[in-house]
Amino acid sequence: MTFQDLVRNLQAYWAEQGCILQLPFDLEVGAGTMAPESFLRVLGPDPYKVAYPQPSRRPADGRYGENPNRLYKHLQFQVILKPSPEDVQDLYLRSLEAIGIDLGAHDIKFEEDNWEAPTLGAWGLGWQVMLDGLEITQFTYFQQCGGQDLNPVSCELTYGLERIAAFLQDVDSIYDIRWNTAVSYRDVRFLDELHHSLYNFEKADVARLWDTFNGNEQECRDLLVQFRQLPATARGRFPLLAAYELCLRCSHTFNLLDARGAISVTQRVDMIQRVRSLAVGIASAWMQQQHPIAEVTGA
Amino acid sequence: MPKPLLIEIGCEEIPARVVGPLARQFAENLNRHLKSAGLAEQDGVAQWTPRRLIYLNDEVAEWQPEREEEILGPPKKVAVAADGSFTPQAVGFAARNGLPVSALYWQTTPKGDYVAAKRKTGGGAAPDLLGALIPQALLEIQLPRAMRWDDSGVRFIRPIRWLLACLDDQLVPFQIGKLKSCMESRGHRSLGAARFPVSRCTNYPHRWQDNGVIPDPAQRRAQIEQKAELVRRDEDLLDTLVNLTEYPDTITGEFDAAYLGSLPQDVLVTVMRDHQKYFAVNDDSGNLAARFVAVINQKGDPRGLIRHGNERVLKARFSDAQFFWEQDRKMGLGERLALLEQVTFQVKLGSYRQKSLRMRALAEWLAKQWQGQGCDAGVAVIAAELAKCDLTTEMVKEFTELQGIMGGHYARAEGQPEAIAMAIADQYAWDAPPRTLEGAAVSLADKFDTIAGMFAIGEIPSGSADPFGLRRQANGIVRTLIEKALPLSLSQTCYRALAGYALQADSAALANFFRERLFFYLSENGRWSRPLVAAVLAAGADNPLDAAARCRAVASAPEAAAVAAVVKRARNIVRKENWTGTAVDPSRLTASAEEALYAAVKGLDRADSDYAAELAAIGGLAAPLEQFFAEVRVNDENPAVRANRLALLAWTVERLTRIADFSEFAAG
Repeated sequence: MTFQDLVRNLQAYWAEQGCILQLPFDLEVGAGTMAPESFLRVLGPDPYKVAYPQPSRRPADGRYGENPNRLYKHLQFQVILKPSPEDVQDLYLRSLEAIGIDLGAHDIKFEEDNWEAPTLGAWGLGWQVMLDGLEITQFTYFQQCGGQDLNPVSCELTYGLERIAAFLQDVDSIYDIRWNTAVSYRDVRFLDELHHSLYNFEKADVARLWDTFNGNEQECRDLLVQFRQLPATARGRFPLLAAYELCLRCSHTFNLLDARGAISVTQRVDMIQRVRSLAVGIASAWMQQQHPIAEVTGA
Repeated sequence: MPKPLLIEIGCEEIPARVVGPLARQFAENLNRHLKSAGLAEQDGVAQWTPRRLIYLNDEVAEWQPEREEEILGPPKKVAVAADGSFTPQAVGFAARNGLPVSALYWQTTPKGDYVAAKRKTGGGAAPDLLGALIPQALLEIQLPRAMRWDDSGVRFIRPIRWLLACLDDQLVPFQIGKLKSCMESRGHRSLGAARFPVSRCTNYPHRWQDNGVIPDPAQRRAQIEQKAELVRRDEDLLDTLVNLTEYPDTITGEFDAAYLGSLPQDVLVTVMRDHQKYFAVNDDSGNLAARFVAVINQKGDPRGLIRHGNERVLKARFSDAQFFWEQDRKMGLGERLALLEQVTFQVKLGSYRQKSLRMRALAEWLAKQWQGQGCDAGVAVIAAELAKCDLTTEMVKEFTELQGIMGGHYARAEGQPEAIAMAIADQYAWDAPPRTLEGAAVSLADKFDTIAGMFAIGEIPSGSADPFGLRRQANGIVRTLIEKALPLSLSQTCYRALAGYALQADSAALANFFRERLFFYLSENGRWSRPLVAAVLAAGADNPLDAAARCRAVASAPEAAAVAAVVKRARNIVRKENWTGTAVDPSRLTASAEEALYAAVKGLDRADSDYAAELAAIGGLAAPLEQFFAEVRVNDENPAVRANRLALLAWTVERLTRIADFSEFAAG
């Protein structure tokens, strides 16, 4: 199964289960959960089912395209099921069959793995799903997001696409994965890894990154202040989605500064707190704007 | 006629480390409730798999026995009218309990007379009662971290998906959240039916086994052990695997033998055990073999697919580790000191670079304390400063459990003397004390630094809360000092450690904390009796080695009990008569018994700390003390003589309780 068939099969399977097929979110995120289709959709009472592939960028994980198992940018396949269905584990296992894994011939284990994202004020309980000793999926029941208790509880499934493809194709290096029958993962992505590793570790302009971080943070905060000053009736048209993107830019800039070794011990704790307070502020504002009744009743 | 009861709470995979304790708690709760309801005399047993908590009790009564109990109504003065008839209050009491007024009678209690009646309780049918007991027993379980999964409001460790409960062949109806109990269970995800009916308790366990589930953890354990004989024993790993599988089987995989030479064995074993949950395997001569045993939740691997998949993962892991090992060695440990500035030790206590400087100073001071034992301060100082450098290596970032151990390997690889490498490698020393004295100095410098710093910022362990594991660190300190025979003053060392931070901490709280740890060590596993340890620590708990020596001496001294009685008597007199703290003046001793006691106590003074000899001498004091009590009146008319006699007794008590406070001993 080629890399693109893997994505297509997962899309086809989850579309059959009633999921909206979204396209990847077009800003840098460190994890698929940060995309608004996950972070904001799990808030509030409205049911939602969505599936999308999402590149996840972690500057410090870059290896100049030289490591067969590690990438600066890897692809996740994200599924959000809200509310979490009773047969969610069976649905998940059938998705593995849909990508050609014979459950009767392999060893599947659900091993405890509790997920927490301090910069997002989010946590959940769940598992890492192990297939013959390989972690292929992060399976989480979200309990809190942006500091808000979630009701209903959403399930998030995050498939590690490169790992699964390497397993299915039995190749030792991610770069040897066949993207389609003619082109390899290396052909498509090697330069991306090399150039961004070079930039992230060696070239990124630390002073400008600080300016970017501070500027985005300030604008995001200003927006939140403006939002709070509005009377409840006038909040409906306030651009919170834009404020959220500013918060995501801060998060990525923080990761770049970290990869450049530009963040000291005390700064680090402080910056995580700063990003978190933006995310929590937006989640709370989002509840007030989009779900005012649920916000008040806690329903 | 008692009947068997079977309960199965079906869940999504419960974390391996808690499933056993949760199943046992569930069974204990049920046992307790069944007993108090009069439904069972025998305890039932707990079994479990990752997906089920199971309870079995062979003998549960079908009907609850009837019991008669007395209930009290209003007091007599309210219940009876002036004409002797029952008041409306008394009539109401009878009516509320469904009894005729003629059933009422008077009962005398310590609070006065009351109207009373006899009421029959019990007699309920077991299924009805169980329907209430089971949810209660389940929801009473103490959970480490609970979750919600639907809008029922139920919280549990993981989602509950089915409930099976039968009394012999009868459904026990109950409900948890939206879920109703049924006579149905579920099979292994790929080896059994999705659902299978259960018609009676005796279907257990064979119907489960037919569906690929071995519900008894002991049987799963035996099945793993039987199939994997060559593995290195590892009980924790075995437990985890028993609790991760419903049907365990094993496969044996191989890896490239070149790794046996190119990577430290600690790395190979850690990757296999901690990251892949594989058992490492020894070859015939007891050396690590290029093989591993994995436990799978599946029946066999006829096509070798599972083996191949696991080998692939391990190969990638080893290749990562090999890469880290090559890369990390390009930078010396000394060069990494600057990087430690970027690593947080504790937000309020700064970076690991600052910690390494404090450890250096403290290790030097400790090593000098033990110079006489041959501790090399030069080695301890270098090892202490470099000890945390491996935190900046890629290997330790990936395999955190190798911290310290990797530092030792990197030190050796860069040509540091073996003594330095060993001291770095042994710094955590959880399983055994450090092998060398220099290792002890580094390890203790680290632990004292952490404990003192945390106390200074108020992070003091209390109850079950000990987020930084300070108790475990203090246990390590006590154990190292005693087992390596190293004398040390805990309070002085804490003072030194705090000076490194230029911070203050509550020295009484620190002393108490260490005293508890020392008490724990000395009395653990019945090493010495708790009263004995209490007596010894009452006479001083600042030097663990010395405290242990005193325990040993007192435990083997036949005189202890005899002395205890007279010391206690002497101390009581000193306390009662308000000794003012004056010193004894030998020229004022008049009676011969006083002079004899004075001479005997003075004879105790010896410079060395040969506790056995001193205890023998103390034993010899029982006689002169008895004689003193028999012949001398402390309360002499002459105040000066009286004061001097009190001073003599006080001094005697002080001298006799330097090894152990025998009055405590007697009290215990």
